[in-house]
Amino acid sequence: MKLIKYFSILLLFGVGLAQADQVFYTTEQFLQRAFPQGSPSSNVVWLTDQHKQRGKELLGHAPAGLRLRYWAQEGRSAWVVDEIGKEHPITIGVVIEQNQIQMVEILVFRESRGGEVRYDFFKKQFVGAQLNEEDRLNKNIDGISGATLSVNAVTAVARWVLYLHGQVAA
Amino acid sequence: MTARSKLRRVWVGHLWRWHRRLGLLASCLVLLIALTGFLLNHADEWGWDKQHLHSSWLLKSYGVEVPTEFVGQKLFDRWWVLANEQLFLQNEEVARCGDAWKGVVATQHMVIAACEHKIALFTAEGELIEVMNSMPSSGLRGIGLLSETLLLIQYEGKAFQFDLMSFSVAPVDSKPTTLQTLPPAPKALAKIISSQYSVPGLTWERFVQDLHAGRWFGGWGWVLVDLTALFLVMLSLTGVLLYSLHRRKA
Repeated sequence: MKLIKYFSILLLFGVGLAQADQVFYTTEQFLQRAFPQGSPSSNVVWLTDQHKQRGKELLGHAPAGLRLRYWAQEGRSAWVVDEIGKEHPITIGVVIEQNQIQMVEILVFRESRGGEVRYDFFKKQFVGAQLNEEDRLNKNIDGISGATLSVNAVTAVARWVLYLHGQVAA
Repeated sequence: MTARSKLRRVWVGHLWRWHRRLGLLASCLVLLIALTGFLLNHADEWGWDKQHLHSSWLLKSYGVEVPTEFVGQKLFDRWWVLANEQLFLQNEEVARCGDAWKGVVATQHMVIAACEHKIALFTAEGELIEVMNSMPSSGLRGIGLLSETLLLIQYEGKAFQFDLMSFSVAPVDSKPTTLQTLPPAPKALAKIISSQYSVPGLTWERFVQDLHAGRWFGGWGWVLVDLTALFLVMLSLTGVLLYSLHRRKA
């Protein structure tokens, strides 16, 4: 019985370790990179039924929340979105200008696997990507074996944010 | 009958007996491994990777004691209950956090709940409005309202004010007296919440995985899996021996 308890505690400790947040950037640090001249104050976009329907198509599920915060200045917008890879939300920052992705950054990674999406070789693939008529990115994004769900989450957020940028910029 | 063929018959008899015994022993374990392996293969499709364990007995087997009392706050005539990492509106889970929820307050128009990692804004009906997940420090003690649009975020020895409109955070003088003390939730409600209590990471997929690997049976569970492998090897060897002896005889 003692062994079982000891093992259970070890197991839960393991679960806890697996869930430890890996914070790479705070929102403020991300905004400093997005707007080196000084970050603007935030705006919100209220998610209408139409937005939610499009969100469902682009993300694969209805977006959480009634509104989403973004920062915009001279046609450039920055977004911070949480998206679940497998079990835990990945906090993803995306910067868009002229309907093209300028930067994708992983702010916080909480999953136990798939953390390779934080590396530059993966994130740089998104630079210059736009939404095409079929709501897909017009650039091919190479997957990472063992990180499929995290790759899907980042790709889905990129598509969703490109759509939202189009909505707020219009 | 020659002495050699007698010896051979004895050998074959022994082999058959052990082959049968090993088969019987291995069958239970092989069934368990095969069945759990089959279930694991379909865990994604059936959503088991996202469904949490709620059974107090199963949670206890992982060393988790399900609480029977919870604290909360009655806001807009309904109870918002903090159940460790789960946040309930009456008996319905409305949000989760990777850490324990520390406080819940309401303005005239919305409910605000906070945990170590985030501040979540809800409508009175429990619909999520927005989440702020860039907390200014660590070791959250609680939250309180400074005004209709300003939230106090209290840490040990320091405090911040959080603007609910602009989502900006600024340090303020510590005002621990503003912090709320949460009353216990009604017992009937706590009982329902107990039955829905879960722990992050402990999903049905995890449980089946632990059964599959023998981990769930405790510290020596891995021996079961090793024994299964050993039985299967011996079963194959005795089977091959019996086959070859039978062929030679024929």
